[in-house]
Amino acid sequence: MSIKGQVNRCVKCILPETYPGINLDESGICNLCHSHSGEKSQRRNLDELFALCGKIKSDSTGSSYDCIVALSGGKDSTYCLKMMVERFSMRCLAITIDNGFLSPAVPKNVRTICDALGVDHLQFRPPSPFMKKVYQKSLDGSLQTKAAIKRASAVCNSCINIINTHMINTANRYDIPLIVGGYLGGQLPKGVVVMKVNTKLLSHTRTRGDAKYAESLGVEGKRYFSIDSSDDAMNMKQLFIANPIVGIDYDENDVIAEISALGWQRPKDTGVHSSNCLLNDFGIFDHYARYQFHPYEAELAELVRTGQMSRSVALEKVVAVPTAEDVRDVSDKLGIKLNENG
Amino acid sequence: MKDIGEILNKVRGYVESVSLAEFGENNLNDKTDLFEEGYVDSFGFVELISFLESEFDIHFDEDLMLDLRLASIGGISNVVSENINKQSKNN
Repeated sequence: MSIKGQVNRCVKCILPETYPGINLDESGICNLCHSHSGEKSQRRNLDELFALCGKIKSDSTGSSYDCIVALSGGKDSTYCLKMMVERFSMRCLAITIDNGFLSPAVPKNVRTICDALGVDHLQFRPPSPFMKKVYQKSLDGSLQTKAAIKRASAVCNSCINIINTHMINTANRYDIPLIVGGYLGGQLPKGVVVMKVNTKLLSHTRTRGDAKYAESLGVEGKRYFSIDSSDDAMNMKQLFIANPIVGIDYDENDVIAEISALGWQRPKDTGVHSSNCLLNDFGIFDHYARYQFHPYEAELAELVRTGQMSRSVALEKVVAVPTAEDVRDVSDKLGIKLNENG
Repeated sequence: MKDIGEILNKVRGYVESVSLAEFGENNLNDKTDLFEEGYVDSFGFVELISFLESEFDIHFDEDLMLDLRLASIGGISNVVSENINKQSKNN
């Protein structure tokens, strides 16, 4: 890791002046802090999710599951699954998407947790040559909008996109109304515990973007990035996506303690910011080299603004950036020459 | 009641801030298809609806969210203007 310190940052959150659209005033406070409502506890409430889960269970018309949970094997998705089973008493189907770079510790963690919680599990694995092409194309800028750089690194954006698409298509196929994921702030609109999604709308907004994926990745690109818009799949027009972690007072140590009690073990090979994926550090390295800010800046800044994380802890996380040597193995596997401008 | 010019300016400002592009440059104008040209993705569309509802105090039901005019800044502004007027008449 290298420590990146030479940049002016907001004195209230952590956003650096290199972050797109950021201006620091004379006091060193950024425009996003100025426009923030200041409300700290608004989002930490699971009432809406409790009400939704109650309705799903009482309306249940024969589906074997009440919700599907995106289980990456990392700490947050594991904790989400635990919450949905134990706190919300939901019949869960856990789904793991293997992006080709999961830590070898993940399969054992997934089996252990699903056994402990009594949950059915499915794994979906696109072929490695295709995923390698996705990551290569992500890095040349052809797959995402420019604004997506504010949310995550290029490779993470593509992976998240594949996961979200698969989860939505699976929910429709199995007639399951609720998708749950351990998305932290940067991956869903902020402050949202439950989001209503119209499948037809999603398909509509993606249809135009689908052409770009097909252009970059060939016909198989559509298979992994398109919402299924066939008539049968459209039976379920309305889906909900829930992010239960946003509704709690998140304490990483408490989360790890609870899932460790079920047998989860922290992998030793996934870097500072991930507890499941070997690609994450590469994504951070590349993102920083291109844009001179850490891809998790916005997510962590929001946690600081809402009082869920101290500024000093958030700062520690974003100034530690992987070095070229840290990620050379992964870049060799991807067949990518490292951008060493960072 | 907001006039269409005021609505256009707010929508343009929002699209600029989320798309990291400047209005008038690189093909971004009131008629640009924001999805086709890669300024907004499906995640961004959800955020856009959220912005429009809170900024203009209007509600997007399922049918309204499927209005094809929501692909461009001009189209979005027209949809907003129509709905502000409709809700004013209903009140």
